[in-house]
Amino acid sequence: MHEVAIAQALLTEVAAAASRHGLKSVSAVGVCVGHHSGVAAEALMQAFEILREGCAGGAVLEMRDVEGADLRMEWLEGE
Amino acid sequence: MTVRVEVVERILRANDALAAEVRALLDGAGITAINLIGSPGSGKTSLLERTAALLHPRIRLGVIEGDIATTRDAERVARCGIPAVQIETRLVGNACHLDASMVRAALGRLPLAEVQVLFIENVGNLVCPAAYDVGEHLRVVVASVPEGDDKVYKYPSTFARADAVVLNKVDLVPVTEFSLEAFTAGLREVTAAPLFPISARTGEGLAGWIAWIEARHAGQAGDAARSAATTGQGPTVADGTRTG
Repeated sequence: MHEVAIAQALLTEVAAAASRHGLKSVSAVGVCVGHHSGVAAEALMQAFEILREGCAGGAVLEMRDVEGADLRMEWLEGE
Repeated sequence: MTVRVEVVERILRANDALAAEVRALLDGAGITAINLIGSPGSGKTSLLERTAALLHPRIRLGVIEGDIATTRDAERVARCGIPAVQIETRLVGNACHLDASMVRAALGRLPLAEVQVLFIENVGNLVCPAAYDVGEHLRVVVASVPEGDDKVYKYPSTFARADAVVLNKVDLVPVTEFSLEAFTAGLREVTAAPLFPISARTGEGLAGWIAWIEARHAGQAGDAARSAATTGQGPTVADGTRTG
C-alpha cells in the first residue's frame, strides 16, 4: 500500500528533474528497486500507472532489481 | 528529439531530508529515538507499558504513537505517566506507515526537554513502515509467538534493517507450534541484530531489553555531546527556535 506514496514521491522527483533538464515531456523513467527496500515492484508499477500525470502523463516505468535497500530514480527519457 | 538524462536520485529524498532534520533536532536535545515496527497485535504498546514501568523516570521516556484511527494507544501510554502524542494517519492522508513529516509535526507537541528516550510506535504493519526513515536512531522490530516462527522468511527486508528484534509472548510457546530455534535461524540469515525473547505479560526476559536500551542511550548521548562540543550547537526545535 505504501507504494502509492512512493509513486507520488517518484512523480515529484520526475517533474523536478524534467524541469532541471528542460524536458517538456517524459516518455520513460528508470528506477532501481533493492530487494531489501521494502517495495513490491508490481505494486509500484501499478501505482505509477494510476498516478502519472503532467509531463510524465505518458511515461513508462522501467525497473531494475538490485541487492540491498536502494530505491533510486536513475534516468529519464523525454523531449 | 528524445534524449536520455542520468538523474541518480533517492526516490524518498524529500522524506530522508526531513528525517535528517528530525535526527539533528533529537541529537541536539540529547534524545535517543527508537522506531518500533511490528504487526498489529504483536504487543508493541504492551512492551512500552512494561518498559515504562521498569525504566521511567530513571530514564525519562516519551512516546509518539502511530495508528490509523483512535487515540487508544497514546492514552494507554499516558496512564504510565509518560508524555505521549498520537498520530492518526487517517487524518493526514496516509494510512499504512509513519513518515518523517508526521514525526516532525508530532515533536512540536512533546515536552522534549523532559525526554531522554523517545519511542515512535509505528502503525501496526510489517511491510510499509520498513521503507521510511522517520528520523530514528534505532529501529526495533517486535514479533510475537502467535504470528508463527516463519515471519523473518516472509518479511526479510523488515528484519534485515532492524537494530534489535523483540520476540514477544514467549509465555505462549508451550501452547503453540512455535520453534524459537527456527525463528532464530531465519533471523540469523538476514541480520546479526540482538534478539530479545520476552513476555510483556509476565515480564520474562525484559532485563536484557532494558539493559540494551540503557546502553544504546548512553552511547547515543555520548555521541551527541561530542558532536555538540565540536559544533557549538545547542538543540533547536523544528521551526528553528533554540530550546537550550
